[in-house]
Amino acid sequence: MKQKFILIFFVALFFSCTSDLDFDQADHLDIAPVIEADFIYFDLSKPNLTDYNGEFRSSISDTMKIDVFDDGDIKKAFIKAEVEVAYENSFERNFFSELIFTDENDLNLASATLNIKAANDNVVKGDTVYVFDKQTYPGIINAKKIILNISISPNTLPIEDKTLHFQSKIKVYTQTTLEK
Amino acid sequence: MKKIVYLIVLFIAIIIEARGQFEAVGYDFSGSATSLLLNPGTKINYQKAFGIPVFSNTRLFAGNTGFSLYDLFAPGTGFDEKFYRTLDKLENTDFVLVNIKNEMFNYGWTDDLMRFKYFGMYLEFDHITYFPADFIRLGVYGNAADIYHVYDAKYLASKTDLIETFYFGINKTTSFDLSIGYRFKLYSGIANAQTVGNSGQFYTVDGQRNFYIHHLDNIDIEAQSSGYNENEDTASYYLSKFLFSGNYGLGFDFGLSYRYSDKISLSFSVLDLGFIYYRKDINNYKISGDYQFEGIEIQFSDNYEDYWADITDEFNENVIAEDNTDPYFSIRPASFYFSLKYGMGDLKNQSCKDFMNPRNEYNNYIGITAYSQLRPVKAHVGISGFYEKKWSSRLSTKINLSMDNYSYSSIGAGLLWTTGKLQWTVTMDNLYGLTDLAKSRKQSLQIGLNLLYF
Repeated sequence: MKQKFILIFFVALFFSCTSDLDFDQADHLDIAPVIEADFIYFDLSKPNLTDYNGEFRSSISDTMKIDVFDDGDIKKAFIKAEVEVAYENSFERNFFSELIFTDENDLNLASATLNIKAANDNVVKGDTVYVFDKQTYPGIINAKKIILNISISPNTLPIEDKTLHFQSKIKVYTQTTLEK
Repeated sequence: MKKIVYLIVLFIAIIIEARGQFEAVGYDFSGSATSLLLNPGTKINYQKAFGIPVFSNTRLFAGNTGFSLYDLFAPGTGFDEKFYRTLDKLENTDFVLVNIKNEMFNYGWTDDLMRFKYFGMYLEFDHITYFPADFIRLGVYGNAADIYHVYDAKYLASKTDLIETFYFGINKTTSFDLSIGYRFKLYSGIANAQTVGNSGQFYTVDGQRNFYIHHLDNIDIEAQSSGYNENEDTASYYLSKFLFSGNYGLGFDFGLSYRYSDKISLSFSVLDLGFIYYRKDINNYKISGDYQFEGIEIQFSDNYEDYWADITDEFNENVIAEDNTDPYFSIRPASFYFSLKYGMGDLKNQSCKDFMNPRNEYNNYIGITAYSQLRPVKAHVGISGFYEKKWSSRLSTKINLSMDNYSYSSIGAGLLWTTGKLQWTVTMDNLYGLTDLAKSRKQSLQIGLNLLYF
């Protein structure tokens, strides 16, 4: 009896079953991360709108080099970018802003404009979302620079000691396949 | 008796969420020579022991708390769907653990003072990796869906050891009721790779000047390794590591068994209180620092501003990445066992065999075994209820029902069979897992072949 018991125990121990497994199916995986981060911001005040001589400047501009699209994988994975901007303007002037994605030769690949309304008695607030998708702007994945132009609507009055606060964030949609 | 009941309730309450690499079946398996490695103070009823070289004590354990192989690789529906379904259930504290121990030799004898002295050596491979679920989800989904989530670097934890352990132990029955034992260990670390004790957080909060502020706070992440030298990647080099690794450490085990009454016995052990100091072929990589990002502030300056380069430089100045070859300590994963058992049924007089403790043994025992092991991220714990039956002086069996993080109802079984002077110990946990290994979250097997002289 004991011998039978021991035999059964050992036999049972070394027998097992397993369902079929298919490891080959894991040779690729589709992922679609969406990355959200702060983008550009600025506070415009009187010193920004006057030159060294104290003369009023009706437009100002700045350029930011970007090298994210130098990476071929990012270029391939990019689907679209949503740029959300918000502003608070206490100037009693309208502003016109323009965000331009360009290549190395300043060729416009994608752009967006924003009219910032003048303040009355109160600070004016506004926000909007711009979408830059690869289908509408196929060249955006070759962008090397971002140019930000701000122009101020003409006004005969001296520039006020007020501020324009501008902030933005970017949400980048990507899709790629991880392969073994 | 009330104290005993209180103890049981307390342990069940503490370990209600069971975890761990739990050798429940093999612990305190009455009379088994292999039990000595799990409790240096276990009661011994033989005078001399000689382990069959290489086969005296082999343990294999593999477990995965987060998912089974079947969850990911079942044929049929697409892999992506299974991957995401598994990922959505994954927690930061889920881990995969593999532990293989193979004792090369052991020998024990009873000295003139009736102390059982023994020595031996075993080879151990131990690997644990936590699945940093938050960081995996960050890579796969991005941060947009849960922008305010806090990503904690403490869940980046992995450790692999290949070590030899030389030990010398003494077991002594000090009275009819108490056996105590202790064991000294000399570790020789053949190879190690670890990233443990990491700290720091990545998180996003609402900003003042822009929508958000992205934080990297108190980042201190280090990966350490020893045992790999790319300039000496030869068989003779690796063979020399087995002989003289150059990485040594010390450890200590302690245990006791106490007969509270004729029917109730307690035992306790602590294993692997120790460390290894790695100093050969070190390759470490460390990242540390703090950084905050609130977006790019446009200056509208007349001078050219390379914003992107400025951000990169600022990041590199604040978050330092460096290689080093500094020696380091690796703490052994200390284990703690506690067991309580209650004798039932007929008394079986072992006075002829149990020369050190001529008290009667019962043929049946029920009891509980509780366990904890100090691992990175958090301690693992487990609890098991068991029934042990002595069919004769040569044959015992044990059945366990265990709770651990792989399963809340894992059934294990053990067999102790002595034929001539050869004692076979075979234990296995999660028997139900054998019905479908692909769906099993864990399996463990222990086999021991020892010559015992009574």
